[in-house]
Amino acid sequence: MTGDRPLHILLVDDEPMVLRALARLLQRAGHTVLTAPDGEAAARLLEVEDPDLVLCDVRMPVLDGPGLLRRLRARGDGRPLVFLTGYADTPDAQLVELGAQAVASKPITRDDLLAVIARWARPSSPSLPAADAHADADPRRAGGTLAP
Amino acid sequence: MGQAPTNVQVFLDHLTHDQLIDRLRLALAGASLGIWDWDLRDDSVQFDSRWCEMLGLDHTQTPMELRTWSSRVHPEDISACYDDIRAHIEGRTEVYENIHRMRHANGEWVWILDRGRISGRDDLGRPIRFTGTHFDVTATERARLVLAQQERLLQDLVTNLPWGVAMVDRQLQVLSASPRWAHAHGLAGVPLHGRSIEQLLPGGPALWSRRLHAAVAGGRAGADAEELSDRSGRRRFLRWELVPWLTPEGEVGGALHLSEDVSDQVQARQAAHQERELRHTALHLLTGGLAHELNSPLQVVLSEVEVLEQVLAAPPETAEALSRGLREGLRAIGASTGRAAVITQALRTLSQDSEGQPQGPVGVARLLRDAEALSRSRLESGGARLRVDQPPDALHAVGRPAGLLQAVLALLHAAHNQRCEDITLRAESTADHACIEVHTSGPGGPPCAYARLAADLVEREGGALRRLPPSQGPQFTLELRRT
Repeated sequence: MTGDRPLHILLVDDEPMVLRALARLLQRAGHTVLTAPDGEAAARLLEVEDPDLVLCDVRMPVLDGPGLLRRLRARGDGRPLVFLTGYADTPDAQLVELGAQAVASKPITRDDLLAVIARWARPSSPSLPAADAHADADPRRAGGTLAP
Repeated sequence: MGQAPTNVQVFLDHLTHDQLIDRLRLALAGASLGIWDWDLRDDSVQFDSRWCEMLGLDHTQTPMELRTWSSRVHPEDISACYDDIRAHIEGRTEVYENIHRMRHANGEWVWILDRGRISGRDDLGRPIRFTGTHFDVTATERARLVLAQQERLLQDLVTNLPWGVAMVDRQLQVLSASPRWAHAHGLAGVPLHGRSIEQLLPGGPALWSRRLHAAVAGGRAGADAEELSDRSGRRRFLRWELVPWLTPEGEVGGALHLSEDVSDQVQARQAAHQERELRHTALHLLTGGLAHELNSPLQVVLSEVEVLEQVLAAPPETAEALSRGLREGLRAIGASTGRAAVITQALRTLSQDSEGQPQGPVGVARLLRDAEALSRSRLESGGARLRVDQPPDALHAVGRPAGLLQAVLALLHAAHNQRCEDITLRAESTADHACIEVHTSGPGGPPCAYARLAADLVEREGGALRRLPPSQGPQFTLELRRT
C-alpha cells in the first residue's frame, strides 16, 4: 500500500488541457507529476526518470499507449502502468494482456483517480527524492509538457 | 409358287354363298362393327342395322344417304373427316381412317372409329364405291381424354411447383425434368432425357453416387444455398434436395432432385447483412468518436472544478496566488465547455435523423464545422493533421443534415484509415453541385468500410462519391446537388 505517501507519477496524454488539469489535480494531492504528450516522449523520459506509476492515454499520435507499453515491457521495464481512456477501440482485456495493470475510464473523478494510484503505484521508490507537490522549478514536474 | 392354303381358308372356300354371308354377319356382330357402303356416284349409302344401332337409329326409318352420316358428325370433326376421305380417294393413303364424334339419337356424343377403303371402280378406274366400318370407341376415347387431362394436370402441377424437379433412376440418369429445373441449372433447351445427372450438374460420379445412397438410406442429401456458376457463367444460389421415389411395388426406383433458385433471397439476405454492417460501422464511428471528443473537455472541467474546490477550501497564502489559481482554472473550464458546446451542436445535427425527414438546403460551412467538431480530436490523437477550409456561408447543398454529416465523418475516417498524415476538408461549388472534398497526403489505398459507408450514405441523399488517387486531386469528393 502506498498510503498517503507522495508518489512520482508520469502522465501521458496528447490533449494539453487534459494533461494540465490532471497534473494540477495530482499535484494538489501531494504527488510529483511528469507529463508527456505521446508515447515516444514518454519512452524517452523513462530512460532518465523512474516514476512509481505511468498513467497513460491509449490513443495518441507518434506512439500510442499500447506501443509505449510494449516498448517498456520489451526492455524489461515492469513498472506499473494504468491506461486512462475514454475510447473503446482497444478492448480493456487486450490492454491488460499487453501488461497494463488496469484500465480506467475518462473522465475520472479525483477520488477515483487517487484510488487507482493508491492501488497500482509501486510500493516504494528508492531512487526518487522526497515528493514535492510544488516542484515548479522543474518543467517536467510542474504539469508542463515535455516536448517530444 | 404360292403358299399352301391355311385350314381357315380351306374351310371358308368350301362354304356356300349364304353360309359365307352368315359367317360374316357373325364375325361383324362379334366385333361390334357397323357397315357402311357409299356409292360415290349418287351419294347413296347403305348402312347396316348395327351401324344404325350404334347411333340409336331405327334401321327401317334411316335414310340411306350420305347426309345421314354427315349431319350427325360433330361440326368440329367433319372437316378432318373429309380431308382423310379425299386423301384415300386420291390414292394418297392405303386406307381411310378417322376418329370422330357423332351425335347419338339420345343427344349424346359417341366416338366412332371410322375405317374404309375403295371397294369398286368404273371402267376408267375411277372410284365408285367406298365401303367401311364403324366401331364405337367412346369408352376408349373417354379414357384417353381422362388420361390426357390428367397428364396435363400433372404437367401443370410440375410446371407450377416452386421447385424444379428432375426424376432420375438408380443409375442417376434423368428420366424426366421440369422446365423450371432445367432453367434453375442453366440447362434450358439442353436435351436431358437419358443423360446422367453427374454430367449435367457439378460434382462428379462418386459424389452423386454418395448423395443418392444417402437419400435412399433416409439421410439428407441437399443444401440450403449452394453457390453455383451455370454454363453461362452466372452466379446462382440453389436450394436443392435429393429424395427417393418409389415404384408401385414399393421399391426405390431412383431419386427426385428438387431444386429452387434462391439467388434473389440470398442476395437480399447479403444486402440486408451489408446494410446492418454499414449501420453498425456508422454507429461505431459515431459513438467511438463522440466518446473520444467529449471525454477530454469533461475531464478538464471535472478536474479543474475539484482543484478549484480545494483551492477555495485551503486558499494560498497570497491573494495573487489565489487569483492566479482561480483564473487558470476558470479559463480551462471555459475553454472546455466551449468545446463541448460545439460538439453538442454537431450532435444536434446528427440527432435530426435523416430517414424520416424531407431533403432540404443544408449549409455546407456548418456541415464542415460539425464534422470538424466530431472528429478533430480523434484524428489528431491518431497522428493526423486536420485542416478545414471554411467555404462561404451561402453555399448550400440539398440533402438531410444527419445523412450528409455522417457521410463526411465517414470520409474523414476513410482518409485516416489510409495512414494519411495531412487531411484537408474543403468545399467547392460548380454550376450544379456543391462538392465536399477530402484532400490527403499519402498514396491512397483500396476502398475501406468507411468509404463504402460514405458512398451509401451520400447516395441516399441523392449525391455521389467520387474517388481519385491523392496525387491527382481530392481523394474523395462528395458531389451534392446545389440549391
